[in-house]
Amino acid sequence: MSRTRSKAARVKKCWTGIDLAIRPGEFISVVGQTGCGKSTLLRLILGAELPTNGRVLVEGREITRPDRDRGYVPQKYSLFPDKTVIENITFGPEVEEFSLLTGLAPRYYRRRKEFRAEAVRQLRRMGLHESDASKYPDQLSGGMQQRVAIAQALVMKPKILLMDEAFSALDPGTRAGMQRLIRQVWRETGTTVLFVTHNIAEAVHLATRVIVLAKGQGSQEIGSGIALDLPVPDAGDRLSTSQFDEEFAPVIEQIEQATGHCLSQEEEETA
Amino acid sequence: MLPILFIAFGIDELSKVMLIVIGVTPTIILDTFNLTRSVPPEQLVKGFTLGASDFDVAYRVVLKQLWPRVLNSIRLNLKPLMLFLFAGEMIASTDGLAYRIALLRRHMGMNIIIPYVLWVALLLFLVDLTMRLLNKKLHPWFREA
Repeated sequence: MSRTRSKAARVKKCWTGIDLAIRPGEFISVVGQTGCGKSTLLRLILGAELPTNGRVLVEGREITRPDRDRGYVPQKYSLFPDKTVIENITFGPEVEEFSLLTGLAPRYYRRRKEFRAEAVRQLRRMGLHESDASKYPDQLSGGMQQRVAIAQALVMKPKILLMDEAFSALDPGTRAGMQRLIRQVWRETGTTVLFVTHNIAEAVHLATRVIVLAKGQGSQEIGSGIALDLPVPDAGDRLSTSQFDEEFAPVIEQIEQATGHCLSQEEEETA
Repeated sequence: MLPILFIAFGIDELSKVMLIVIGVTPTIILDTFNLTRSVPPEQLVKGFTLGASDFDVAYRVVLKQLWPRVLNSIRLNLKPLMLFLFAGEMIASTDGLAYRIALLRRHMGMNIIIPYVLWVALLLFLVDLTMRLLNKKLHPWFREA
């Protein structure tokens, strides 16, 4: 699969030769330098962009546009600002079952109660309180917004959850909490997760497989990437920090070499 | 423009309404177009991934976010709206505040003109205030920049 972008007369090749098979229930992290096409890869799987050559298949079906079987949690603008937390979570089930006209039927009001009950369950699962349900997104912290965004995506029971730098804007403490949360959600639901990040330690910490997109040596050539299989952790969290550093240091080093990227002090602290 | 409007719609109220519509609508449409483009694409994609159709995304995601901004755009256009109304009334009318001001201008009747102008200013202020309060009531999530 390949993807090019043209802007005026310039045509930029994002990358070429991506051949990736994701098994159901995997937790995949995609890492690479800024501009190497991580988000483009995610947007192709999402169906928000189409490949110049090749195909993206989900269960054998070719992707042509975003659909409800792929949940999406972006870094920013993940919630609808004009809707409360509960309305954001119930948005999917409501639009799926009721159009504008059928939304006037009595059955809608009965079903809406059920949608809301399910949304509150999801909120609690994400560690939020019922009192947060009536708040608007701008009244929530960044971490809380991302928790709601994950609940909003999960309520549709997607086959794949696509997360694009979803924790990048969060402070280290909140980020660590969100990492624990997403791993717990992944274990409980068995949803396939594709997690794009520029933070190598985070990628290794979370995933069962890491895909590295590396810039090639040529002027416009982008490497096709490598894939590293990691051990699936047992129940409970990933190893303690010191064990993690010891066990995964060679893996992180290998990824750094592949990306030509040095892990900054800030990223180490964040992880 | 005015002669064409008078020929097409007569010299009654309709030509004045049309003058206001033609004068103000393009600005509001252009502003709405730019506001539409400012809705983050992530929100559209998000809508589709939540099972929304094209119409749902247009109405429930984009339009719902645009309403308060469009109302603000109309508020900003109240001044040109009043200018067009005055222009229409001063040139071809037999009634209205601007007609009376135009009539009194010939006699330098400032003692009546000034209260009329203040009255118009108060009317505009009240319309603007009503729209602002309505916007706040209908869209509690909206924070003005």
